[in-house]
Parts: sequence; C-alpha cells; structure tokens
Amino acid sequence: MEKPIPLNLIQQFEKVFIDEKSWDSAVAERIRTYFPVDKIERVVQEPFVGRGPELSPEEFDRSKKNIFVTTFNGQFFKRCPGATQKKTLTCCNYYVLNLGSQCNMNCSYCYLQSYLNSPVMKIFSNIDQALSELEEMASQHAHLPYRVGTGEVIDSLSMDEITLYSRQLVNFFKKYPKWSLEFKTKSDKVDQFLDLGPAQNVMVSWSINPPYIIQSEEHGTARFEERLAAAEKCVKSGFSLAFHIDPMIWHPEWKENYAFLIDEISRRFTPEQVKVISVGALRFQPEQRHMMRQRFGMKSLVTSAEMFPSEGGKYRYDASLRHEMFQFVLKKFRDHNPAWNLFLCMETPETWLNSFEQTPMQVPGLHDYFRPLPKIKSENSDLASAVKI
Amino acid sequence: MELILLNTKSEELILDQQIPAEDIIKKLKLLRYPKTLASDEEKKNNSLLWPTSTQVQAQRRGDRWGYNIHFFVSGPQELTKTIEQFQKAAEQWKNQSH
Repeated sequence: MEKPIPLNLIQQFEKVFIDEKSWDSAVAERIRTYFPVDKIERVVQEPFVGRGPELSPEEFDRSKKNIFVTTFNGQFFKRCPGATQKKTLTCCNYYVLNLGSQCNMNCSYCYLQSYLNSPVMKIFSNIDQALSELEEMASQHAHLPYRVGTGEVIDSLSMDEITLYSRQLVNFFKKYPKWSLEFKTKSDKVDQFLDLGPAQNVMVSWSINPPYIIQSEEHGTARFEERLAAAEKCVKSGFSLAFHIDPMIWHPEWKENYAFLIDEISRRFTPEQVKVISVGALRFQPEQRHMMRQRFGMKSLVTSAEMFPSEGGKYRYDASLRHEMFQFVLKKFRDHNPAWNLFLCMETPETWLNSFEQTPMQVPGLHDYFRPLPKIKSENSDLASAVKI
Repeated sequence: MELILLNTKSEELILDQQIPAEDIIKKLKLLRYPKTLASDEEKKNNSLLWPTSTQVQAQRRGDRWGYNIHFFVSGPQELTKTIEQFQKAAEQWKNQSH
C-alpha cells in the first residue's frame, strides 16, 4: 500500500496551488488525498505574480511554504552548471534532472537565495516526460557512465514523501546499470524507496557537516546522527553512498569538528560502500550577501566569514586557507584508509594541483567522472538552455 | 554596514578626517578581515631571498595572496642566473610553508 504523506511534512506548508494542467496528475492526486482541503487551491497560473524581478527576503521565505504543482515545459535533463565554467573550474561529468525547485529546509549559505526568482516552491507533475528524455538518451548511450543527479535546485528527497518520484527513478535506473543516479539530500527521508533495493547504481548522498555547523547554519535539516543512520539503512538495502563535505565552513574549532565527522564516517562505512566523497569550501555569488544578511543576520558563520572575490566572480575564503582545509580532510581520510575516493567540488585547477598534485583525470578512481562524454540534446540547443525554471 | 552589524565598537568606526583615505580603508579592512590580514602580514614578514635584479611586492588579489614580481635582464647568462636564484627562492618559500 502507498505510504501516506506524514503530517509533520504537510504542516510545513501554508498552501498547495495546483495548476489546472496538473490537476489529474499522480502527484496532485496524492496531495489531494492527504492535504487538508483548505490548503489546496486550483489555479490557472503561477500564484503571487506581479512582483519585481528579484525576490525579497520575505518573498523568498514565503516561497518555502507554498507549493505550486505544475508542468515543466523545457528540457529536464541538463549538464550541471559547473560544467559551463570550464575556464575557471575543474568539473566532473554530471547531469541534472530538475523535478522541482526550491527547498523546504533553510541553510544560511544556500545558493538558491541568489539563483531562484520564483515566488513558490515548484513540483513538476510531468515526470513521465523527464523519464522519456532519459529513455531517449539511455537507449543511445546505455554503455557510457552517465551520472545524473536530482538535487541541484531542490533537495532530492526532502519532498519525496509527497512525490514518491524516487521510486520511478530507481526503477528506471535499474534498467541501465552503467548509468548512475544520485539522490542528494540533507534529509533522512529514505524509507519510501528502500524496498526497491538492491540498486548499486543508485547512489544516495548526503551533504554533511559537523553537528555544530548543522545546528548553526543548516536550519530545518536532519541532524548529523539522523543523516548517518539513514545512510546505514541505504547500505543495508543495497544502495551505494556518497558524502559531500560541502560547504566546509571555517570556525575556530573547525579542525576538531571536521575530524569528528571524518572519524564517524570512517568508523561506520567502508570505501566500498561510499563511492565518492567530495569536498568543497564555502562560496557564494556576491549578490547573495545581502539576502543572507537580511535573513540570517551577521551572527551566522557564513555572513560574518572573511570572504574575497575569486576568479569567476564567487566569494571564497582565502586560497591558502582553503588549501589548508582541503589538505586536512584529505589527510585525515587517508590516515584512516587510503582507498577513500575523494575529490574537490567546483574548485579551480590551481586548488586541485595544490591539493592532489595532479589533475582529476590523473587521479585513480576519478577518471570516469571527468572524461568527456557525448553531448546531450540540451547542450546542443540554445533554445533549451534559454528556458528558465 | 557589516561592521556595524558585527557589533564593532562605535569609537573604532569614528573616522578622523585628518587620516588619509588610504589609511582609513586599511583600518576598515583590518576590522572586517582581521584573521586573513594578520596571516598576510605574517607571510610578508617571512622574507625570501629574491634575485638582486628584481622588484618584489607582496600583495593580495581577491582570494589569493602572493608576490608581484618585476625583473629586467640584459643577456642570457643573466637570465639563467636570475632563474637559478628564483628556484632558490621557491625552495625557501616551500620550506617556510611546511
């Protein structure tokens, strides 16, 4: 029997607006079954229209509490945005499938604060179209190691008890074992798909930070222990794991706190269970500073951080501090076990060379992640890239 | 504005009009980026033995701290000698970083 939507998730939202076009979709039907009637409104267009081009902090906060179920009219399957900055960043072959936008959690550093301009959280009801796009690509390139993630502009799993999209995706990817799917989350919502395991090409990954950072900067997310317990469940059910120690956030006790995190991962998991561990340091677009200041004040470790403009425009910590932080993590993991497969996320070639003394293509275990793959439809179409979420 | 929000003492933010603008900017930067600028200063004090024909200036460029180096050579032997001296400076820098 289908799992009901938990009450505590329903209570997070003020309203669910369902686009007329999506009214009869499976996800809308599920929402209509479990949400109270007074929270649901049938609409013919996106709610809260008539505002300016950018969201105010209040509008951004409101967008986290209101869902708009609608169809997505562009190309679902795209290259990760990091790959479009090849001149300044060293990026892996990663593709994204956006089945919604916005997040019901509230991290102080979240890049969506400068990325989204929609006044509501969106859930796209036409997942069948997304699966058709994947099917078209997979049937042509089933033998190539395409990696697809659903957690770019929405957490992959924190809303999954509403959509249950994970179930359709896991079933799809089980047909294409060379392809891999990544669910990237800061939640502990995994129970809804565990019965579909084993599926080693489905990687459930956690963006993780020490408990102190989770407490101070990652509001509304699952706690450290809850995330690791969910990861253990995934291993037991035959899914593979990844961890993203990203963004690392400097604070006076950073060494002790990140050492604790690394010790816990090393104690509870093996390099065979965890396909990759990516490491990145705090970074954000300059325009995001104002939104963060207004939403979180200056007591946050993010807004009060000493950040500098870097090549490519983002604000980052001093390069030598980043180097020290990455070295610390790499060494600490390797002291536990040299087999851990580590890489840097959205970093410059200089930082790669300083940290690994080689480029990612030369790092054993990372070659497949960085080797060029055939272009997909959206990379060849200006029209597709012009469609915004 | 960030300094005010960071609860910086108001007397530290009162700017004396007699002080040159450059020094005021320096003072404000020190208040906002104390850890990084202290570290820059420390690195600046670890002086390296640069080739005699060079003009070296330590500086911060965005998220990177480093040296801006100018040099002039008038022949291949002088260039070779300068490169050798640069290599020595690089070794010295490497040792200081460890």
